[in-house]
Amino acid sequence: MRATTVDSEVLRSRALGLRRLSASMAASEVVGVGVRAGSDVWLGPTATRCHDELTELGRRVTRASDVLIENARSLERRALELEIVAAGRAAH
Amino acid sequence: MSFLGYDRELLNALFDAMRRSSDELAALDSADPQAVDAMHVVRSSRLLLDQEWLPLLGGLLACVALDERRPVRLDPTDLRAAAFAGHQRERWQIVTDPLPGTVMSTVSLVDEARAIGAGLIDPSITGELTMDELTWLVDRLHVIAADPMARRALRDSIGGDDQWADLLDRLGLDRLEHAGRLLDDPENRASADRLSVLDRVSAGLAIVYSSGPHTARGGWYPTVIGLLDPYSAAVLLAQMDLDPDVAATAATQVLTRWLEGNDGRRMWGDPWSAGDNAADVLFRWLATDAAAARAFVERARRRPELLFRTTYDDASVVAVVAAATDPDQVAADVAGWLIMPLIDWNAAHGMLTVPTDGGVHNMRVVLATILAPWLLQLTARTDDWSWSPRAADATLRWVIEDEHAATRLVASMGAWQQNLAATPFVDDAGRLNDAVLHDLAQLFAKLQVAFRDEELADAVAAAFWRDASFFVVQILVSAFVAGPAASIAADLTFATLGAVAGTFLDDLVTQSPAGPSDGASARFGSRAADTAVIAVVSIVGQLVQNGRLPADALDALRLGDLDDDECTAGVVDERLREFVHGLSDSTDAATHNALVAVVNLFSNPLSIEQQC
Repeated sequence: MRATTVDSEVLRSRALGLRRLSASMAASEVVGVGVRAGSDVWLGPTATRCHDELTELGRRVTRASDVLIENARSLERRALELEIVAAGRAAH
Repeated sequence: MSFLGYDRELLNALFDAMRRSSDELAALDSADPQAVDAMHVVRSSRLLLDQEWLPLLGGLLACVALDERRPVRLDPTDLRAAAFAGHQRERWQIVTDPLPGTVMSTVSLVDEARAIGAGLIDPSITGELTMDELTWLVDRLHVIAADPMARRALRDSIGGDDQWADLLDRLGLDRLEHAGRLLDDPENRASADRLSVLDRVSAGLAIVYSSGPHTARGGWYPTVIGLLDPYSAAVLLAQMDLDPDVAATAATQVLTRWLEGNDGRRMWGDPWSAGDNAADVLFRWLATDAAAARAFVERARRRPELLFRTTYDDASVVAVVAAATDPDQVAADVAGWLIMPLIDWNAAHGMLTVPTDGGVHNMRVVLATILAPWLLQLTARTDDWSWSPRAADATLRWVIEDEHAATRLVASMGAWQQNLAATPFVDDAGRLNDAVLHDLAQLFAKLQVAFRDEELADAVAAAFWRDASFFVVQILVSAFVAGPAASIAADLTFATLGAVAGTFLDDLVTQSPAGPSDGASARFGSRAADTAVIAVVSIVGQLVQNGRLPADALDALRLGDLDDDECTAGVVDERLREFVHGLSDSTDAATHNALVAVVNLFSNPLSIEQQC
C-alpha cells in the first residue's frame, strides 16, 4: 500500500482537477468550430476573418488543454516524491 | 466594395456550434493556481464568441438590415462577381461586407487566380471593365503575382497565346482610346485615371504571362506579341523585364508587323489614334535600357525605316538612339558603326514626304541631337567613323541647314562637352596635349565656317560660341589654374566668373547695348575673337584672384579703342597674342601655353583672313 500524506493527497486531487478541466476543454466543440466556418459556408472578407479567428481560437484552447496536462503531471510527480519520502520514514 | 456570401442553413449550423461552444466554455471553471492561464483562454474565447461572432451571425440570420451589410444582387458581368460565381450556391445570400478584401478571400489564392482567369477571358465580362473592377483587379494581380502557384494558375486559366492575345488586345486598345482622349483633353481626369490603372493591370498581367515554365531571363520569348495588335504588344513589352537581345528582337518584330500595315484580318489601332503609337511606346521603353537600345539599333541599322518610318514622336527616336550611342557607354567607333547607316539611309530617303501614318517629322533635328555628342567625329576625327572629311562636312551642313536643327545642335552641346571632358587635355607631366587641342581647334574652325556659310540666325551662332568658350575655359582653368585635381563639373557662366574677369567682361560683353550676340560682331568682327577674349580674360582673371598675377594684369589688354576702320577680328587676335606674350614672364610655362592654346583655339586664321 502506498504511503500517502496529506500534502500528497492534495497534490493528487489538484492534478485530477486539472486533468478533468483539460479533458473538458479538449472535448469542447470550440476546438473544431473553425472547420465549420469554411468556404462551403460563406465567402468574403468577414468570412475569412471569422474562419481565421475561430481556427486560432481552437488552437489556443488545445494548447491550453495540453499545458493543463503538463501541470497535472508535475503535481503528480511532486506527490510521488512526497510519498517516497514518507514510505522511507515509515520503513525506518 | 467587398461582398459576403453565405449559405443560410450552414451558417445557422455554425451559429449553433458557436453557441454550444460558448455554453461549454461557460461551464468550465477552476480555482487552481495552475489553471490560471487556461481559464484566461477559456474566458477570452467565450468573450470573442459572445461579443463578436454570435451577434454578427445572429444579425445575418435574423435578416437585420444594417447599413454596413446590405443585401445585394451581383451583376453577372462584374469580374468580381464572376470570380465569386463559381462558389456560389443557388440558395446563397449576398450582402455587402464592410471589411476590405475580396469575395474570394476564404478560398485559396490558387482557386481565386483560376476563377479570375476564367472571368478575364469571358468577353461578356471583360468587354469593358469598370474602374472599380480594374482597381480590384490590380490589387488581386499584385497578390497573385507574388505567389508562384497562383501565377501559374492564372496563366493557365487564361489559356494559350490566342486567349492571352484577346485579353491583352481588349486592354491595349482600351488604353489607346483613353490615351487619345487625354491628348484631346489633358484635364480629362477619368481618362488619366483609367490610363494609370490599365498600365498597372498590364504590369500585373505581364508578370503573370512571363511566369511560364522558363527559368532564365534570356531563354524565353513573349510569343503572344506575334498575335497582338502592335500597340497592345508595345504596351505589354513596356511592362516586361526582358533580356536586352530578346527586347530588341521583340521590338523589331512588333515594328515590322506595324510597317506591314495589317495581318490580313484587321487594321492596326494606333494609326487612327492621336496619342503615342506602338513605336513611341517601344522606343521610350528601349531607351531605359542602354543594352536593349543598342541591340535594337544594331537591328535597325540594317533596316532604318524601323526607326524613321514608324514613330509619331521624333523625341522617342532620339531617345532610343541616344541611349544606344551614349558616349559614356560606347566607344566612338561603335557609335559610328551604329549611326553611319542611319545617316546613309537618310541621305537616300530622308527627304521623302513623311507618311501620314508615321515617321520622323524633322530628320535634321533628330540627327542634330543624335550627332551632338560626336562633333569631333564630324570635324577633326572623321577617321573614327571611317568617312571622308567631305562627307562629314556635307552631313554637318545638311543638318544645320535647318535652323531648328542648328538650335538643337547647340542646345545638345552638353552631351558633346561631356564626351570631350573625358579627353585628357594635359599629360602626366603637365604638358598640353597638342593633338587634342588641334582637334578642338579644327572643330571650332569647321563649325565657324559652316555656321557662317549656312547663314545661321545670329542668336544660334552666338549661343554656340558662348557655350563653347565657357566650356573650354572651364577645362583649362581647372587644368592649369585651379590645379589638376580641380573639378570641371561646375558650370562656368558669367555669373560664376571671378570678380576680376567678370568686371572686365561686363564692360565688353554683357553690357553691350546691342546685346551679347549682336555686340560680338560689332566689337570684334567675329564670334571666335569674342570667345577668345572671354576665355583669355577668364583665365587671367582667375590667376589674379589666386594671387598668381598682379591685380592690374588685365589692364594691359586694351580692347576699348578699336577703330571702325580696322579689321577688328585681326586686331583683336593681334592684341590677344601680344597680351599673352606680355604675361610670359609672370606665368609658368604650362599656364602660358594654356593661354596661347586658347587664342589658337578660337582664332581661325582663315576666317580672319577672309574678314580682313
